[in-house]
Formats: sequence, C-alpha cells, structure tokens
Amino acid sequence: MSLSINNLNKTFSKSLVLKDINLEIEKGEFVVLLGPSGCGKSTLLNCVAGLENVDFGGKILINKKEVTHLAPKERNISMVFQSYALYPTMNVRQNITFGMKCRGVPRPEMEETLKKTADLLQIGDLLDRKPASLSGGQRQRVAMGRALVHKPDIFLLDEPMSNLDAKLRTEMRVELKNLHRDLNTTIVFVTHDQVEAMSLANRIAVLNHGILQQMGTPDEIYQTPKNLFVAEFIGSPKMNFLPGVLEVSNEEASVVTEFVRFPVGHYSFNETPETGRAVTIGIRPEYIFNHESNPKSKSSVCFEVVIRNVENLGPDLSVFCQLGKIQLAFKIPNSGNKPKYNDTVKVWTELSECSIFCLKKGTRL
Amino acid sequence: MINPHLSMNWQRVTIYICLSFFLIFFLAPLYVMLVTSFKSLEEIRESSLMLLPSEWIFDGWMKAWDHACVGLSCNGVKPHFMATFSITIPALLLAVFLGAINGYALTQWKFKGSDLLLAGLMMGCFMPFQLYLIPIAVTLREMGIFGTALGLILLHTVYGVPLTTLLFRNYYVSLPKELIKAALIDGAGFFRIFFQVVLPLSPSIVMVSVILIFTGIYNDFIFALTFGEVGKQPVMAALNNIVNSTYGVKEHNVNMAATLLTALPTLLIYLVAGKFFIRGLTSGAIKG
Repeated sequence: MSLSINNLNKTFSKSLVLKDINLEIEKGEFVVLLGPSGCGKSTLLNCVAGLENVDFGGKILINKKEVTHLAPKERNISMVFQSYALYPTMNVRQNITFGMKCRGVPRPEMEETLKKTADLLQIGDLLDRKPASLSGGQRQRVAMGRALVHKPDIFLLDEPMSNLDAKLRTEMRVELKNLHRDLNTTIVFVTHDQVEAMSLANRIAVLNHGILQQMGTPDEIYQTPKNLFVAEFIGSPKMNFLPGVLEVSNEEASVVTEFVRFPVGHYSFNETPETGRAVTIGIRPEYIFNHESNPKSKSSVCFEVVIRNVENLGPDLSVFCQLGKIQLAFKIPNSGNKPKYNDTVKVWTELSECSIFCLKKGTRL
Repeated sequence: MINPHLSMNWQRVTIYICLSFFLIFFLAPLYVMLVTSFKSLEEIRESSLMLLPSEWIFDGWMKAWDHACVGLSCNGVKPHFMATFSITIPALLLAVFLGAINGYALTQWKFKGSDLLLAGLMMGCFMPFQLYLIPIAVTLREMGIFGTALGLILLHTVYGVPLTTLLFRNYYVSLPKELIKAALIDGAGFFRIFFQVVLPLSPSIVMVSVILIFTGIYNDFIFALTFGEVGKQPVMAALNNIVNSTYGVKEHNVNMAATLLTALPTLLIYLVAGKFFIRGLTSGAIKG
C-alpha cells in the first residue's frame, strides 16, 4: 500500500470542504482526482503533501507510515503545481537542484541526478536559462524535473496541464504516461478535465462538494456510475436521462417514461426493484442509433425524436434532439445523409449498458 | 473647424507655463541659498538677495564644514555627519531587514491573530512622535542607553519597522502562494525560503524602504535633539544649533552652506535611487 487516507475531514473557517475521505492507493498506481472546480480535490492533494492541516481524527499513511503531522519534506513526496511555481530568480539548474541543496545531497550525486533528469526530460540545453524565457511546455518539464530529483514515493500533480494549449496538452499526456511507465512510481493527479482523467488514470476518484463520489477504473466510472453526479459529469455529450416509474410484472422490470417504455429485464439491480418507484434511466449517447442495430436484441427500443441541432466532429456527428420536453443527445458516424433541423426521425436505443438511478437519492439501483 | 494640432499646442503651452511657474517657485529658495552661501557677509548685507555674488567666496562652506560652533565645540558639521551615519546606517539596515521578515511572515505564514498584529503595527505608522517622548526618555534611561548612539539606533529601528513592514507586506501579499509551497516541498525552511526565494524577488521594494527610512532617520530632528549624545548630536540637531545661535553676528553664508551640506545626502539618494523608488512604488501599487 503506497498511500492510504483514512477518515479525512477538512474544515476551512467552519465550512467542511472535505468530508470523510477514505482512499487506498497501491504502489505504482496512477490515480486521478477528478471533480468540478471547488470540489476539494486540490485541498485533498495539499493535505497529502502536508501543506494543509487535517482535522482531528483523519489519518494519512505513506508506505504504511503515518505522516499526518509530518512536514512536507519528511513525507518523501514531490509536487508539481498548476502554475509550475518555478523560482523566478533562479535558472533551470538552480531550480532543479534547490531541493537537493535543501536536503544536503552531496555535490557529485547532485550533479549526476541533475544530468540524468535533464536527459530524461530533454531539458539539458535549457539549464542556464531563467523560467521567464521558457515556453509553457518547457516550464512544465522543468517543474517535473524539480519534482523528479527527490525520487519520491508519491508524485502529486495539481492540474499540471491546464496552462498548456490543446496540442501541447495531448503531447504532454502521452509523455507523462510514458514517464509513469518508465519510473513506475505512484502518481496522484488532480484535474477537472475528464479526458485527461480517462486517458491517464489506472483509477479515477470522482469528488464533488468534498465527498468522494466514486473510486474505480475509467471503465467502471464510465459504464457503471454510482450516482447521478458521476453519470452526468463523465462523458461528452453527457448521458441522457429520462425520468420514469419502475414497473415489475411477470418477473420482468421495465422503466415507464412519458412516451416510451424501456424493458430492463436484463439489468442487474443493486436493490430489489419495486413497482411505482420514481427512477431515472440513463443512456449514453453512443447507445442510441439512427438505424436498427441489432433487431434480435430484446433490450432494444424504438422511438421518434425531433432533431434540434447537429454538431459535426469530423468522424462523428453529435445530434441533439427532443423527445417531448426532454433533451437527448446521441452520437452517430458521419456518413451518408445527415439528419436535419426539425426532422422527425426514428431512433433505436440499446439498453444493455444503461444505468438506472433512484430519482430521489440519485444513487444507482 | 479646430485644428487638433493647434489645440494640442495650446494645451502644451498652458501646461509648460504652469510647470515653469512651479519650477521657479520651488527652485527660487534653493537658488537664494546657493548664491548666499558663496557671498561675503558684507555683500549679503548690501546687495540684493537674488543677485549672483560679485566674488565667489568659499569661506562660508569651509566654516560650516570645519569650524562653525555647535554649542561649545567649534568643529563645524563634520563630526556630526559621522554621528548621523553611525546611527542612520545600522538603524536603516535593521528596520528594512526586520520589516522584510515581518512582511514575509505576515503574508506567507499566516497564523492566528496575524491580521490583528498587522493592524497594531500600522497604528505605529500614524502616531506622532511627540506623544511618547517622555515614556521613551524613561525607557531609555532604565535601559541605560539614554543619550547614546545606541539609544537612537534602537529608537529609529523600532519606529521604522511599522512602515517597512507595511511596505513589504503589501509587496509580498501578491507573491504566488505556490512558490512558497514549492519551496516547502523542496525541503526549505522559513529562513531559507526568505533568503533564497523571496528576498531575491524584492530589490525594488527594498530600495523604496531604504530611501524612505534613510530620509526619515536622517531628517529626524526631535529624537536627535532630545536623545542625541551631547557633543555628538546627529547633524540635524547640530544644524539647528548653528543656525539658531543667538550670540554674535548672524553669519548667513555659513548658515546657508551648513544647511546645503546637511541636505546633500538625501538629495543624492533621491537622485541616485529615484528611478528604483518610482519603479518600486508603482510595481507595489499594481501588485498590491
């Protein structure tokens, strides 16, 4: 076990920003803390780093050693900040070696580590330059280098890519993933960008309002969201929600909405379904088709929608439409004739991967 | 149709007339002092105030520097310059250094009651000195440093710190917090972060503090007069002694020369460091 967080609470001037967080992170894992801004993900990272105090009772363990009250430098972690926070008056070399000087690393070892790190990150020719004369990507590399030289047990990265442009971000994502594979260290990465989270993480922890909503692999998070928040937060266009009522007859459950009855006999309920329970059925945009995908499927339903908007994404089309008053979105390949505004078209939905949530509590049934 | 260039010219002319007026207004006394200091006593009595001296005489300057009488000793302002600098420089260094540390601690290491402490310190900026002359006198006497250079150094340090603290606080409050966090993660402590990360970022505000505190201490009269060492008063107190001596003939040329000599260091520091001063003030204003 590389990092474990037990019953962590955090209050800022009487408002609880982190509520009873419990996390277990294995050695070598790449974990992404994902959530909207203000959800407490950066605060959680700062708590792990030792830059914020934790409320009484909370515990943070790194390699089974309790570090809750230790100073940042005693935790063997290192951190990369959103703004990189390079020391403006020092050149790249001094920036990278500053930490080693603070820790009293002998000079020959320091030189060797510096050289190795510079080679790894390809910043060898930047060593004598000041941060102000570096580009965004170079600054990020230097910040990574500064973190790397400590050979930490855990890397903490606080939205390190949000200051980069889209193209560079994609490149850095690949580089970071490669770096993680090469070094095999534990990484905790904070972001509000679901694409980053999905593409980088071994596991994602979704946070909202200081509460851990769900922890799981990207597939688990995407396919079986534990509640409405996670379902809505992950995925673009977002999951379609149709409110309805649960109906059970002849051992066959179905969700009855205003216009459509969805047979969900195949669905593995966490709770026994009861007739009359108010629920929401959630369907991902890629499970709605404008043609009959699998005529034999028992879990396929056909209904008619009115097209409201079509977004061309190149290979795909995002189609926004209306069923009664409910807005729906679906994704189809960009081929053949495109649906047009105000057309009424038939669509088929495949329910094998749908999610059903309790309307009142928002939890997955 | 009004020609925009013409109206611009008229505006310009008006501005320059106003500026010239104020320039003359402020420079005239300096001019009078300068020419008077180079005149002989007879000429001062007989000719006009504004005329250039018919013969340039340096006697006034020599006497002011070397043998004008301050109280009983007649050594001019020279020894008092030494006294002033031996007080000003240590007090200046201490006040700026402590203010920088305070400003850094109050912004980057916030603790319970740190804002209250700052408010208390700020009160110190606005209190008139006269208010605590007697308490200070008693305190210095009890500490056994009444009438010594050490007493004045302590006094000026204590009264300089609120101002420097405020200056540095306003400068450091805009320092990105992540910089300090990064240094903490790197394993640096309070003082290492201050000396290696924060202080190198603050040359302009250091200059501003140095100029303000230097002129403040150098120009101080009331402390110098009250607590200065007898015979080794700071130059301001000595100048007062020369100019206000009530016996004998009023030597206007000596008085003017002594005053100009005394004003020289502050004039120099503004000329040399004025560029930094303005830069520091504006950068502080934008950031703070």
